[in-house]
Amino acid sequence: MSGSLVGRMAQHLPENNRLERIWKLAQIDFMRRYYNDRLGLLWALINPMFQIAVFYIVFTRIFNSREENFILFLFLGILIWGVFSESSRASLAILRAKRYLIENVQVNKFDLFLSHTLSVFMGFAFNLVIYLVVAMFLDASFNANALFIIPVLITLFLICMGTSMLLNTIYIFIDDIRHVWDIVVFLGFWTSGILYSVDKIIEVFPAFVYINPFLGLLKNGRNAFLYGLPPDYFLLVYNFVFAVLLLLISNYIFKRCEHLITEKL
Amino acid sequence: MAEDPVIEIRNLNKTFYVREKPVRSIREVVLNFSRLAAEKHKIEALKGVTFQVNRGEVIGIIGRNGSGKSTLLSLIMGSMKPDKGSFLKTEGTITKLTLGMGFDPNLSARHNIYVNGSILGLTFKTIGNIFWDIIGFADLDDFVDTPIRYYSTGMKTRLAFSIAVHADADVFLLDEIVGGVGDENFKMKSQQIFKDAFLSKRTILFVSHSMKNIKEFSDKVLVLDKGKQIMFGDPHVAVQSYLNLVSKETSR
Repeated sequence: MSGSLVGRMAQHLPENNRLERIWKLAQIDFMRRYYNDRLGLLWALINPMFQIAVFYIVFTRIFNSREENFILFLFLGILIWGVFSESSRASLAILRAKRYLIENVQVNKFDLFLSHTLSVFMGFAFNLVIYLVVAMFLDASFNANALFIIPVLITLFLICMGTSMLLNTIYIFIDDIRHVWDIVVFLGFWTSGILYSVDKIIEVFPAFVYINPFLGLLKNGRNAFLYGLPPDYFLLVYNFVFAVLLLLISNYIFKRCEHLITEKL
Repeated sequence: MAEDPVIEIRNLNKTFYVREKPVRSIREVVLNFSRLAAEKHKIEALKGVTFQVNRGEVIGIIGRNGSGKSTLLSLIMGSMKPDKGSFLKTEGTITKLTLGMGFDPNLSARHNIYVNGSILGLTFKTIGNIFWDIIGFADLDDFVDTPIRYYSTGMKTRLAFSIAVHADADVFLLDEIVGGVGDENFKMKSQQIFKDAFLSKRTILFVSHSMKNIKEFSDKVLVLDKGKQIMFGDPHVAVQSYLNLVSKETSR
């Protein structure tokens, strides 16, 4: 069953099946998301590709964008924002989807969020590989700085997870948080430097870099995986601390309210 | 039986505050902010329930509809929190089996077995070893990869029962599934397993409306009525007390 490397590794952990369970739940979520359809995993790629095509045409032909390697610039921005957008939106269905477990067995709800975020990152990993293939053909600069993508992705993961927990806590009390969240995602899309340079946004709204971690994530992500430049170390550390605090606070609030879930579901 | 408590409950209370019209949107919260607290309707689902379950005991729970049986199981499961002042302590893994519950309807039996078995403490290696025993016990050999949503209630319950029996949780909470589900063959099997579970020192709390099963299997019985504990003790006395309650209510 667990033929994957992670599954096999987890089996060697004595008396602890938690990791393999989280991995299994993530695999199931991933399969349900992409394999219920004939196009399967391609859907994970089609959506960002479509967005890239539209924005590329609009921004190069109409707005004359002069960003270097604009296709890859867009590709990476849309992928990083897309994983957050998908993870947070889909997370609003977690508790209802996993009601069958919550009501009948003693399941750690933190594991449900962890497996959900992992499943979204599986699709993201697939897209990142496609990005790398395309980037090789389009002359992106790759050097040792590319390794800084690792802390960027870890930070992104923590932010996705923390946001999911926070949204679900609100969702226990208020159903239409999803509409508010759609607005937040829309605002975030236009203020995170996906379509234009992060530096331009920081120039106009310097304080914004402290509120929106995606400015730093996109800047450092592109430095690592597109320009071959070293990261902005301050933003790298700031974003990581931001993500850890977000997760800790979200987890604390969620734990305080989780006993209400069964009553509200 | 020597005292080795796995569940200790003292003065257990659970109160629900419900609104006739639930407030679930931002607009309603903002518009009705001042009236929200006042509109709450208080329902005391459990009041002052006190009992102890020792390892290996089989406890029957009886009561009319709305007496608080399911709330009690949810509190023991930990999926709900009791009111302040209550004392509730449990040990080990607890699983609840209800009619056709506990499965993701869109997943096959195969996936559900791995997820449920894992939560009940088994490694995937162990689940792989007993996989066909679970399927065989539930008589589902031809439906291993069929999504659960196509299963009948009986098939789902057989599977849930089979996973739980093989998974060996510390405490089982059975909600109306003993000897009442499936065909005659499965009923006989589940009754036999129930007896074996008793012999193998499993701890079981089971809700049932079958007084025959309650008397046959229970060491002690808890009788609930409108959230109050009527009695906890000898099965025959408890069943009689429950029947008196029902007949009193019927004669009104």
